[in-house]
Amino acid sequence: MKKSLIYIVSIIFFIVLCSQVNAEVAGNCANCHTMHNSQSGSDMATYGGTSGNNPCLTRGDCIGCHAYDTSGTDNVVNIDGSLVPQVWHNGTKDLAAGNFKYIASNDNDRKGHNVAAIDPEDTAAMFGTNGAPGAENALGITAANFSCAGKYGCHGDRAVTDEIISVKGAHHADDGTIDGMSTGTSYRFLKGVLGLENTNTPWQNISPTDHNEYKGINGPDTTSSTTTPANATISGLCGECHGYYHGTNTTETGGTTSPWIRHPTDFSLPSIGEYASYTTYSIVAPVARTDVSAVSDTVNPGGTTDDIVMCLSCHGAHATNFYKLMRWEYDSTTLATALEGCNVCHTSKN
Amino acid sequence: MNNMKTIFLCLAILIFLVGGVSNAGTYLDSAHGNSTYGVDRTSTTQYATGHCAHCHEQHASIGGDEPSPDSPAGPDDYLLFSDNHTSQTVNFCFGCHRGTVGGYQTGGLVNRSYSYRAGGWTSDTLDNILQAFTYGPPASTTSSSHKLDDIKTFITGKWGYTANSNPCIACHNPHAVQGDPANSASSAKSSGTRGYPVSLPSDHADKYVWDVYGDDAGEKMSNYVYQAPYRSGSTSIYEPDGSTTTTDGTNLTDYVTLCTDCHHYSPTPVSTRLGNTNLRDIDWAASVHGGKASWSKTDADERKLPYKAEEKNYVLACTDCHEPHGSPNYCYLIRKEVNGATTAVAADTNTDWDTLCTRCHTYTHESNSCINCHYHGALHESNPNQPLF
Repeated sequence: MKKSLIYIVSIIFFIVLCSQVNAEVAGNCANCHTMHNSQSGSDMATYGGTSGNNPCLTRGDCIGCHAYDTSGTDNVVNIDGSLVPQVWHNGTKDLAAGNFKYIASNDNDRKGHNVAAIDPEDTAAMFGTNGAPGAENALGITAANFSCAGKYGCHGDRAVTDEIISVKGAHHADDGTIDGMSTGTSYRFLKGVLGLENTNTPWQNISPTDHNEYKGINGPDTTSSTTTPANATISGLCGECHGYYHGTNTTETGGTTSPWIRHPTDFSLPSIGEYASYTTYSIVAPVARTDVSAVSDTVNPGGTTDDIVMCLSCHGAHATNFYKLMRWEYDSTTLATALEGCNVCHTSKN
Repeated sequence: MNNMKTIFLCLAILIFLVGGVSNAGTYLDSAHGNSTYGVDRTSTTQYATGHCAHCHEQHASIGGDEPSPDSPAGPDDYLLFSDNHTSQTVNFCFGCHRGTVGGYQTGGLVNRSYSYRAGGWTSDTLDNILQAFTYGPPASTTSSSHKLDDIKTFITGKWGYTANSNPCIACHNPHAVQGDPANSASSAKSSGTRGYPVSLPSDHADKYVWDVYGDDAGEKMSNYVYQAPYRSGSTSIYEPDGSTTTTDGTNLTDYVTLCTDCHHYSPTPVSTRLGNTNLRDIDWAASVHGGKASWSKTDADERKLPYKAEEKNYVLACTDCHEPHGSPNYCYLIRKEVNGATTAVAADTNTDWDTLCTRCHTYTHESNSCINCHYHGALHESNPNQPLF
């Protein structure tokens, strides 16, 4: 009888435990980790090529797992039950942030963030004095150390130098609530950023009704530090490295109202004129929301809550097939094509 | 049957093509947004002609550097590639509108005077807007131009303009402005090359619907009794587009309404060139060159063609006598070509003013300069109901 009770309690405990990890990485530990980097005399840390021993006993670094098969066509791979989104693959359907395949040759440096493990940036001037175009603070980012995560990247804790350690534990965190309090409970492990990760078609933006929701606010009234995104917004994260493109420095952004001297972000679309026509969410030029609790396909210009211009309104986060990570072919020789995304908001300039 | 299919296919394609054209908006209809001859900055040739990025820099940086011009360095108001307005000769628009040399528009940019474009006076060597605004003090005391600083001062706080506004946008909507003639800068206007270059300043109050002015039926000089003047050297071809038949202003923007938006505003603009005095109020409805019928028999009898004695109530367009930007004539932006022949107003003398007034009037004064008595707003000294201009 006592044994039976222990069994029942154990089963209940297991069920409860499982229910709390619904959004965590799934699958066997060995899918991602190796205890000794050795199995029958062979290396086990081989994701993305033999990498040697990695922090956190992982079988690869960021690129190793998330660019698991760069010649494959799957944008999400299944490693023995573990679903791993692929930031670099050879398929036709890019993830929401794009596809690093577009910068995987020296000819296409302008199409993405030039993470060193994929293809280092060739133009030293791109990093400027502070380590990034528009950098307000000294970042120390170079072509050689530009990484996915950590101090020299975007994901994880940017106060931590090593990219793997910067996301330590995040893949196992309960991210049922995205509160930005830790890397694991931040949108896409972008520490401090809020948002709603698409659960219908994970990691992708498909249509006005099937997409991520990005956090924004109405009013660029805070400047990001190098490790904390202003207002927990996605644009605030970009501002950690590209601060002069976001924030309150009046000599650089023009302040908080017209005349802007750079394109505004974290700012509500005006309710009048050409902007009033942007009423259906566009995955070509999406907007951020102050409330990211649910996916919506509507936009109310001037409503100040669901119509926020953000960096990702124009740019992909990783890499796109277009000049300057743009979401559309901004440098097309056909003017109407080049302005396709501009015209989503600037509807009279079509 | 195959022919029917071919015809149907052609029609379907035509519908798509026409549909695409009709979707073009204000900007793509403008001179700046034209995909063939629109804006095309020499330092941003990676972008299509007409692209926003030729004028607007979203981040004041491309590839870590600010594309030329980068002096002064850093971002500028409205994301423009340089300061919006500094002085009579330093202005964002002059970055391109400065002729064939030294500008940022690929291939240079030629813009002609009104006398050239409408008057057909093609011997005018003026070929750019900057040069037109360089006329007048301090560069010259024998020429004249609209004073941009004064325009800026006047419009600030009115009709949605602010202290940051470029004075050029008092009259031109950069996202709507059209060439007139369009894409044929070194030709006079023709009926096939017309465009609408100006926008009504007061309409800027709602800048989101601020469109070109002169394109609608109610925005023509034909709203008045208008007679088009002759083109240079002709007695059968008329301004503004060389027509031999259209003379009633149906092909001319109502420049009276456009100009009096400011020049009949109370208080009128202040001219720093005229000792910080307010400009004369131009009440065109009360002027004999305007809406008031001529009261002088002499005036009616002593006119030159195409103006006829029997018409008492001609309403002239401002551009019949004035250049909008600048003129080599010594003051008041008087055109160098009026009603078919040239003028030469190099000084405030009877002889010089006669070169203007006798383009339409046969009568001259023997000693006094016409303008001593016949100026905008002048009234008969014993009868205020008899305007002298």
